[in-house]
Amino acid sequence: MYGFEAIAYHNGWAISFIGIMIVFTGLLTLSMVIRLFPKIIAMIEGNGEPKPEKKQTPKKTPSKKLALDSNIKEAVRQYRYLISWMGEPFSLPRLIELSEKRGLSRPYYTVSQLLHANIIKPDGKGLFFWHAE
Amino acid sequence: MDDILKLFANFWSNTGFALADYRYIIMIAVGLVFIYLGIAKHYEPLLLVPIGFGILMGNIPVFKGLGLAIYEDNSVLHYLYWGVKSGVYPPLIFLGIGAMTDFSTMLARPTLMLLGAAAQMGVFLTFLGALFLGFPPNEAASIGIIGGADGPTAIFLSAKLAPSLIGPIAIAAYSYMALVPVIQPPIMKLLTTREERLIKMHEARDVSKLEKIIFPIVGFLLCCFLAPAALPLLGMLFFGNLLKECVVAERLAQTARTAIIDAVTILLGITVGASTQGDVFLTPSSVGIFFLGAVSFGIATASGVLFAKIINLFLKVKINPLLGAAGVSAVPDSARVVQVVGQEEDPSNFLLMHAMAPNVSGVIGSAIAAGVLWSFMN
Amino acid sequence: MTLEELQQLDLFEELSDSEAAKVHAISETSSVNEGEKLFEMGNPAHTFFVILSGDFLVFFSDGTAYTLHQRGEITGWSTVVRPYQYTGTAVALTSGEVLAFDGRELLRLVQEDSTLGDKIMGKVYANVGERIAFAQSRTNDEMNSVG
Repeated sequence: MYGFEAIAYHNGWAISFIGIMIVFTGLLTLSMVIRLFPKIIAMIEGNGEPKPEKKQTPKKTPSKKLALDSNIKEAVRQYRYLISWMGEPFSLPRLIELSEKRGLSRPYYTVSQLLHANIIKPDGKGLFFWHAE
Repeated sequence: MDDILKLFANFWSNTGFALADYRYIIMIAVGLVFIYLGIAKHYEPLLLVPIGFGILMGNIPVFKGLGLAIYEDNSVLHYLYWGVKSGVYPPLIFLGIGAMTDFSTMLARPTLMLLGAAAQMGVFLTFLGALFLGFPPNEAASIGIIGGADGPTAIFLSAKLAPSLIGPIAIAAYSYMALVPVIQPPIMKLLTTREERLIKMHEARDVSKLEKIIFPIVGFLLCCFLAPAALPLLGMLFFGNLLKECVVAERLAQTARTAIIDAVTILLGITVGASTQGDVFLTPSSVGIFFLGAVSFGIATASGVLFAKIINLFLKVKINPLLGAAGVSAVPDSARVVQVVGQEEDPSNFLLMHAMAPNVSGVIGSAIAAGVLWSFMN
Repeated sequence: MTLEELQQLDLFEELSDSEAAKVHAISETSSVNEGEKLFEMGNPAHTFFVILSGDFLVFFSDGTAYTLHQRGEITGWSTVVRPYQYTGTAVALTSGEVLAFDGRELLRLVQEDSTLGDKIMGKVYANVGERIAFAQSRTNDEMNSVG
């Protein structure tokens, strides 16, 4: 037996309707009982009023100053040349890639030092520019 | 020489190579796909890896009568499969789920529970669809529960009503649960406007420890008085939750949500997988089950979202209708999908925690639906 | 990393002792060397990181990038935010230490304790909100260009 005839024969409509109603009734009743929990607890605890919501204000941590490495004059000269060749604003990963290809030592560390010294600065759009004189 | 050849021929005739037919090969391929999806793609690995390997185990062609196959009475796999057939494993999994779930977002905003209820319409509409396709009522009920998106519930009900369909129903349920991130978003976007998806939910109230302790006791009593047939599942769910929330039994809660649930998941996964033998699984009714499973997930998602939109007609402070999709109780994946779709419109819209409320109420709703169907079919 | 040190990080400073203990249980401290990649663009996002020390660069296929220098900054948030695969590549500019969290374990924690999850996820967004929009706009641009 197939089709709507099968559904009617097996009381499908009634079973589905009543089943949905039972599920809804169960969860609706549970939700209504849950709404009463704060009042019930307030009564149990004796003051008759549910406790107000607690709001937490997050603490602010002071920003830390970055420690700077002093010996970067040679790095400044080399990277200034590279960046003027690349054009500004430039891509920082591209700068590192070119530094590696040109055999400059420790390009990652050097870039971090240039950043700390504010010689390279972000432009706010994901690229960087040379800042120092 | 003849004896040697005879012995070799006998040996060969008992190997899997001689006994195999195309159905076993197809199922082995299915098992490999499940394992690939679990390991390489990280789709529900805790489920797909055991199920996938179980499919491999169940589809090694063996000579019947040696007590090797899962359906042979004295085989090891058969003994382990007892927990599935008897309906023991699913409640134990629910014990672990209760012990790891925090119901506080639901307690803070009980209105969202109704979205979990609405999503269960997928169960009953799929039940009708299965009757329409000619499945008998007990099988139709077992197929319909796939829409509850709850693997243990689907296995539990199938074990009670249609044991022969445990394999395809479990495979369909877990497959679609793993595909929730694929199935749900198009439906959610189709049924909501951009303005609705941008609705931000207000911060929920704090829920006290005492509420979290009272809830499993009250919830259990209320739900099981209404639907006593849901007792095995909801009893264990709420018991596990009470163990968690009461704190004094934290050791038991810890065991429930780690050792117990993991051990049972292993046994359930591997035996359900092994039960999908090619000659039993590859039938036209399995195709129907898979089709109806997809439909049920879609209907459940749509029901939840549409119900949320209906509720909004009566609310001053609107809820984001995407939360309705989280009523599909694939915890926490459907809540995560709601988060994803919401953030596509506004990256600052954090819906995950709010979506957990209908998500966990969907677990309760699907267990009630299973209990109702079981009592009707009996 | 000790529990007390974890509670001093901005991401976890609002957590109670028991909440911090749960987070501590799923975290792992690891050292990274200069030039080492934390994650690569396009790979599934399974781990997210809190910077403990060192400088890091996160860059995208179009050459744009941003850097991280402060203790407590976060990267690899795609484990918990669309599209759940890393949208950029993170590399250590200097040697340092990171606190790594497995994404699945984190989701499990969120499921177990909504209040804790709310605190963490709210902080994640507060920390990286602008960068989420930036990174997602990069992903959209790439998808559009492929389509």
